[in-house]
Amino acid sequence: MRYFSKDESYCNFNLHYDQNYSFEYFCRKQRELGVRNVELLAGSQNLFIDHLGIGDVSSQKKALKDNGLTVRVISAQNCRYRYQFAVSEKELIEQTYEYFANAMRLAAELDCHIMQANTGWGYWNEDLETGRKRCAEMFSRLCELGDRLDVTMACESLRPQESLMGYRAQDIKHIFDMVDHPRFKVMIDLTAMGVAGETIRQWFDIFGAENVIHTHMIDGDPYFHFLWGEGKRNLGEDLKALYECGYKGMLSQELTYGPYYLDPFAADVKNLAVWSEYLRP
Amino acid sequence: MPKLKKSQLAGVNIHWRLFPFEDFLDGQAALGLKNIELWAGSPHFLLGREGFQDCVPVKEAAHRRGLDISVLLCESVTYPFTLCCSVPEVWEKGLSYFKNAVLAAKALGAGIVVVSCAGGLYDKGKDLAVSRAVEALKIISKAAEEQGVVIAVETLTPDQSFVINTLPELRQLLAEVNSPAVKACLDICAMRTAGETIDQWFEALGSDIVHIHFNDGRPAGRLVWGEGLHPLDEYLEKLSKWGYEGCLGLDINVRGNWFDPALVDEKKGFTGTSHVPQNYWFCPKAADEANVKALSAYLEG
Repeated sequence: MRYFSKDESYCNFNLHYDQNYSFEYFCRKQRELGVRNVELLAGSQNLFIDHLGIGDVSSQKKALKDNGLTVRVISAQNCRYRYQFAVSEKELIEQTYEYFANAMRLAAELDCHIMQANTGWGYWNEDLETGRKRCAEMFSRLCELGDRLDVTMACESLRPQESLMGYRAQDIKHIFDMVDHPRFKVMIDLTAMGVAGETIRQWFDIFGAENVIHTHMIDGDPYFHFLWGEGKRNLGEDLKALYECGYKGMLSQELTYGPYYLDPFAADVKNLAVWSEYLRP
Repeated sequence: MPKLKKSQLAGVNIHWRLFPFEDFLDGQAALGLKNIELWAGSPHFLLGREGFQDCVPVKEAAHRRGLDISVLLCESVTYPFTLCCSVPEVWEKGLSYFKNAVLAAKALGAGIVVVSCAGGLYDKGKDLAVSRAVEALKIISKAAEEQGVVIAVETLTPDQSFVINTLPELRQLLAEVNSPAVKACLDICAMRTAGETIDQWFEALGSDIVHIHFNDGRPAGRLVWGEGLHPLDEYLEKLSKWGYEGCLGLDINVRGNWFDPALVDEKKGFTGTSHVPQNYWFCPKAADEANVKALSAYLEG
């Protein structure tokens, strides 16, 4: 049974293109693949933002339009740079707010209504709840801006090596309850979910279909962000679970395993070949 | 057996970023180190295109523990600003970032800023990436000359960037930049990944090698000594032969171990979620202790 449509649900994230290829190249290649939906990394040279401003996006808009692409999610770099949602230093808190506020403004500019998020992390030797309170405060401030811009956050869990305060569905639920705002929703990252030993159905049981608005649909063992066929997950079963849980969002391909960065298009081709037997046009 | 002065070892905070900066400094002092290479990354040190944080308390915190900040490691790969950036508007913003790195080094008392050439895009061509780096380094070198700071450019492994991976490529770059303030940093992992030797580097660059990133690897990965494949004894003998007296920066990358299956297969505690010492990402102190212990047989003074 083909539960989802390629045109409506399949989404490619440009993370594995970003290090070595231009924005235009990514867009052109998506057209070649017949992909219509994209999730975009913001913050690097390809779609620049920082806490001080937003880069000129006219060429990016043109490339998206020329290649028939719709931006479904903006994912401001939230793991590598100085900005992370649970940051503790006073100066950094303000810079982080401005950075993610700019990401939301960029999303609105690109007619996109979701900004991907995670919980961020505290210091390893710090009480976990202290960090959770800080990210909840950051999310609450951003929700107010989200209301004005019509942009909603989708918060994923991380792996424990990335964040001990936000690696389980129950951690995300706790923060979800603290923020308690319609602009703050959640998303499933299959790798983080797999590492935590959780299932898709558990996430929907905890949050309800109306609150799970995005997914990073990647294979894993359970670690790593592999293309499908290179990890240990069962795509057919995962898609069946999503469908039966009433999922309506994107199936976004976040392929971050090192070798894909050298030839991201080859990774996409290989990945789509696996997906093709599970997708309607 | 080749000997190494303990003052040549420079601890780096890059794997301490989930602990407060003071914990890193305490860890280095406890190991009896005298020098540190400050990774200018968040949250330990804020360096941006708009400026950098007040250096006085940072410098004082190091001095109180008997530590000098001898090198500033300017994040040149994973942060938004890169020397080879192909988007002119962002490249220009990056110039401010790298110039600020030079000014911050001066304010911290560090004589060397380590940078690398990333941000090139395959579809825009290697020539453009190299020319951007040359142009950027020429501009930044003026600030370095004025401040009396030396910029040390290291090579990178191809997984980090494709622009300057080898010694001939670095030599060519340095020749084109042609500034007395722009020299070389020898990264042992990148060197061996390129199939090069310490002898080749010193034959080609001699005293223009002003800093070394000294880590074990397979051959890349920037591992704690003893976890990789590099011949430590032979490498130290070569450095001794060439009379190298600069610092050996220990910029290990224990975080990377979680994301590369080639490095984690034999790694203890990989799936752990607690602060166990064999799980270095949760316990950078243990990583540094293991590193210095592996080097201890060679240390004098």
